[in-house]
Amino acid sequence: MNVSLEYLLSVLNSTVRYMTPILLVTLCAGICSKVNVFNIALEGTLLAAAFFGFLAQYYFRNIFLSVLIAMLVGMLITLLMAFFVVKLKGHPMIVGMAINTIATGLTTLLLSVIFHTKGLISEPGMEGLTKVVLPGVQNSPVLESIFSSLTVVDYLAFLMAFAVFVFLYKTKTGFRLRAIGINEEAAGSLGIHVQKYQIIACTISGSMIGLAGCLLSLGSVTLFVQKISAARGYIALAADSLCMSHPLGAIASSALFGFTTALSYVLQKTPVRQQLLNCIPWIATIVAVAVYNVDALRKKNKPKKKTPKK
Amino acid sequence: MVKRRKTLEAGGVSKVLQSLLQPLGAVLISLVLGAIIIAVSGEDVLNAYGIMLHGGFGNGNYLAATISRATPIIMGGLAVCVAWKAGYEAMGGEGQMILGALASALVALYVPGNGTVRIILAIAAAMLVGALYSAISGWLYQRFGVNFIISTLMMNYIANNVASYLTTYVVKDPEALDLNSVQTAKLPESVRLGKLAGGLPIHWGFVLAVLAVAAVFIVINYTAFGYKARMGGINERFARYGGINSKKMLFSIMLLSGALAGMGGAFEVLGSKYRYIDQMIFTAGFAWSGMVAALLANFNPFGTMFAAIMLAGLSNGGSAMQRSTEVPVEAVSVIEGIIMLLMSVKLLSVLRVRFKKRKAGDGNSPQNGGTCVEEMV
Repeated sequence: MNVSLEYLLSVLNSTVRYMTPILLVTLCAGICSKVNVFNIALEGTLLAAAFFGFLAQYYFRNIFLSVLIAMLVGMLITLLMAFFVVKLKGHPMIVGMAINTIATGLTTLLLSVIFHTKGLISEPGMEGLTKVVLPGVQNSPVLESIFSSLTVVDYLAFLMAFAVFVFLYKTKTGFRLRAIGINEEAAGSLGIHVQKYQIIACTISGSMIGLAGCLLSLGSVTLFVQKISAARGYIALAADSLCMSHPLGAIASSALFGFTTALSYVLQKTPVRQQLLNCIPWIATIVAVAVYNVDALRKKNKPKKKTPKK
Repeated sequence: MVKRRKTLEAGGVSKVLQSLLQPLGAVLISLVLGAIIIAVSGEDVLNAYGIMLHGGFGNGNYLAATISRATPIIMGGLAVCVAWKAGYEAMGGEGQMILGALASALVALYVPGNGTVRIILAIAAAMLVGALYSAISGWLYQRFGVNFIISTLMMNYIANNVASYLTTYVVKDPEALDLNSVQTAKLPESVRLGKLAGGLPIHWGFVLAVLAVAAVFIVINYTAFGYKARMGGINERFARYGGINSKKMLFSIMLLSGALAGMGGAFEVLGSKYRYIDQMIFTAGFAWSGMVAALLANFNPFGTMFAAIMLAGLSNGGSAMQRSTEVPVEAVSVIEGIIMLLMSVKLLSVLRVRFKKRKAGDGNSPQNGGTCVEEMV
């Protein structure tokens, strides 16, 4: 295998393109877990958002409207999740898996009712997300290949990470949300309307899943295929647990998964078989979470050992 | 103070009746919502449901096909019952079932010996592989604190890919005419689980599954081990305080749960497909249906069995509906999902608690009997 600079740069480029949808979903997962809603419905929400974004583009041929609809779908489904978990006290795992089942069934159902296919659907003449060329990038071939074919939402994903950070750590509302996550009763005793905050926070963060869905079905390629989300929702859950729901940490942890996914595609040129390469991101996820947890545990235990015995 | 101590005891008859009310309600509502989907697809609702009912339970043959399909679902459901009852929310049934299915196919194909011995060995191998795979996630949890949900979900994908690799490159059927058929060789007659009655697709695996249901029921409800497991599920700290070794408990539960799931894979291979076909468990979604069944039955083994048969009937009926109408089979998984969603909230108990709360003016609302141990202390 010939490793050239260009090749490495293209790996970097695919890392960025694989990581941005995961980053957006991880941010949503982070906000949900900050307010004590374990959102395992991310997977189904992402799938549904990708589908409805695609569908809207198919009918209206307006990229702005499509993104808006995808965001709305993301918010609605997350609202459903939050309402069932927070208000009705449903078991988050069961509610989430139910939503995932419905999303998988419904998208395939609509796919075959509307497009009469159960496989891949791609319509010529459909407009994807606007590609952005940063000023000055064209002058340098290195930068150009790193940033090639990135859409406006890819850049937005990084901005969102900073925006969520500022919101959570520098505003009063964000402070209240984190307080809810630390202790619901204590937050409630301070006069915070806990359930209202939880539901609204989750719902609004659902819009980011909508954006991620657009990246999948209207991003670098404009197509929809059954189960296009490909377990990114679950990976985002792992990424969230890795960064302890910190929005800036989410950039790092989603980059890890973007890189391992890119790696599994890069290594296809080696004799290692496809099926084994497919396992790389999954194994990396488990290993990363395990290593991180051990590290966190060690740090947690350290001060205890230092305290002198009375 | 101790009026809710009942939760730790085995379920009585009235409790069983009560627990049936909610699933039936959920099924009814989801069928109404399903009717809307069918109507939107442009079909006559009654006709479509009629075909579905007939295709699932219409005559002996269809019923037998439903029961045959239900067999691995029952086992997947039992695996969930055991793990979740003990408080471990593992979702690794799929991976364990995949590896169990492959292992049983390989043992049945390549281990020498006479038919019955090979069948027993194949089932044992499936249980062993499933149990060990499940124990890995237990170890990851115990040693590294890796969340069960994350590790088991990831491991399902790993198992499916590894099984796919093995069937494609290592143990592929050498006599396959079609190059695209990724599967192992077909099992010889002697190592197949026999049919219960000539011609009908129902096989001995179902009988074994029913025995497993009874065994799990007895173990959970009437043994010290089951008592400890349930106690751990209700309040792990209290259980530990009571002298239960939570590490030993964790591994026993995970091994048992994995063995049950692996067995389900073996039944599907030995009794129904007679070979391991790439993606066969993944596509059929046996483990997920099993989980839905267990949830519907609130983790009661016998309830899980009936729910599994109902779900298998729904999906066989759905396929029949797809064949003769315009409604795609996925309508069934939407119905399944809605059932699950409605079951998740235990609407009845939410309503009852509210009613009681209003009546007594009591601030502490018990949630699904989950806190009884704390009250006993």
